[in-house]
Amino acid sequence: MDHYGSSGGSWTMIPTHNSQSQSNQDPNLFLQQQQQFLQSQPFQQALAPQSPFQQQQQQRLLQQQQQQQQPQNLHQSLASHYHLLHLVENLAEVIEHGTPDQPSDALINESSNHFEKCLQLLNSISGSISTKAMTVEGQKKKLEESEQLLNQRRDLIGNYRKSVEDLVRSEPVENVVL
Amino acid sequence: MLQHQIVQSPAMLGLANPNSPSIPNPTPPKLPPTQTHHPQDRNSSTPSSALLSLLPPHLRAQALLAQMASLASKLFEVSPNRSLWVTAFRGSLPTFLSSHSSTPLDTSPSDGKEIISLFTVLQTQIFEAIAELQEILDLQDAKQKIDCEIHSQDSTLLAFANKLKEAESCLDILVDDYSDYHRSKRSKSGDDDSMTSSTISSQLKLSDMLSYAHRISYTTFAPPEFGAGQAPLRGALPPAPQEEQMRASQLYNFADLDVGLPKEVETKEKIVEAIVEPPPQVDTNTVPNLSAFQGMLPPMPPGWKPGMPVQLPIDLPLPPPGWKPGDPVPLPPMDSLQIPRFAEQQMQPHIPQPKQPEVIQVQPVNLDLGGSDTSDYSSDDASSDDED
Repeated sequence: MDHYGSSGGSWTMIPTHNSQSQSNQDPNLFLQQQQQFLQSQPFQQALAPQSPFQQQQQQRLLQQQQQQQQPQNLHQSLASHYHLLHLVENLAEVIEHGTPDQPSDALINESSNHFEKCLQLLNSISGSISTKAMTVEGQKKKLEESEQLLNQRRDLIGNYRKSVEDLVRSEPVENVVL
Repeated sequence: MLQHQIVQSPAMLGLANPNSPSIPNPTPPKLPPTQTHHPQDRNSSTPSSALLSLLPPHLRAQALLAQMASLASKLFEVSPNRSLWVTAFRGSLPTFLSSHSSTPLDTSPSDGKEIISLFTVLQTQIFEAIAELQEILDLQDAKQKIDCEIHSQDSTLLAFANKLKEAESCLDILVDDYSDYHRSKRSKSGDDDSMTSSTISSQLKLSDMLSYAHRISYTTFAPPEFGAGQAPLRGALPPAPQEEQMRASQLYNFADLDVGLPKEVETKEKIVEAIVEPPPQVDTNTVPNLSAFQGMLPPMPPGWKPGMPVQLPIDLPLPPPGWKPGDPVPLPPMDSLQIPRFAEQQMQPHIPQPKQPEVIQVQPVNLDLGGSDTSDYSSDDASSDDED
């Protein structure tokens, strides 16, 4: 499945609210707006205490992520945020053979910011799914239940349509009788 | 196992370049298969890792991220230059994800190479967890679309139900109108039947009653004297209608009346009137009737008028001896008498038959009265005129 994320932010939240029974659209929109409002606050708070130098670093990271995100689908764009191995390898190299200086400090801060970003992304994902304990099998079962409900309605509509067609077809005969 | 790790370490060290730390490491998008992952997990031989794989993807990703942060922090402790970093950070080493700094590690790595290998395993696992989360989000999105479609289908069904209800109400209205029309039609047909029946009954009763009354009154009425037995039946033979009988009949006067019936009934009445036509011809009181009979009778003497006595011819033959009224009379062979009788038959064939008995009956009365008083003779002549 191909899903292209929006180019506006670092991560595109998919607002969905599951409910087996029928629910009106208005409460759903209200819940979606509430979630967006709550999730946007911690991200802004995290940015406030950073220094100008760190902000520049983060902007550069955001640009790189945006470039990577646009041509790829959401699956890879989501996984690309968790490429932590190269950061840790560079960090290990600096820690073992380097000395405390400006580049090493920058690398340490970059790694720390990346870990924090991964954690925030994970928290926002938890807001998107119904429960933290949700698994792929569980979600598949829910999807199958929804598909069954949809098929029931399609069958009902098909039956009603057939009944109406029968009535319309027999109507001229009734007119002749009248 | 150590040889395997040694082989991986130089390649990674070679790829890593301290001059360009920000270059991202290209990782293939497809994750390694599960079978490859299990041997590595078994090689680690950590029960926590085994339990970790059973967690839901979100919780598993959180736990893995915490362990990766702890491993990154561990690099400072195992570094040969640890004292240098401690001095640089003024006594406290930097930590990643400070909120999860208390997470204990399963193993105690002794050097950077071991930390990198462990980090590689965790990187693979977190990629799997993220992939599962992505799949969950995709399925959730698909479910959302299906829910929207279900909602639209429900709206369609609701609209159909409303239209069906409107159609039902329209049909109810039509059925009510049709029932009213049906009732009005029945009442109309009833009126027609009543009119037809009244017409038939009126025609049947009125015309039949009139015609029947006319017929029975003319043919069966008798003079009251004869009915009472006071006087004999003279000058008439039942059931033939006579002048006295017709005069006594009350319905005779209604023959020409216009009752105001339809044309069909009038036609029947005309037929009835045709039956009534013969009696006026027999009546001899009126002048036109007398003028009609002049051809048959001998010519009247000059100066005669109705009401005056008439002298009968003297040379008429006398009745045979022993004759009585009602007996047959043989006709005389005289030519003068035969000629007027033949003329009578030619002009009106049905009248001569009743005419003959009247002529025969008059002669003996005249002879007897002629020999006696004059007044009796005049009365006999008047009666004979009436009969003629």
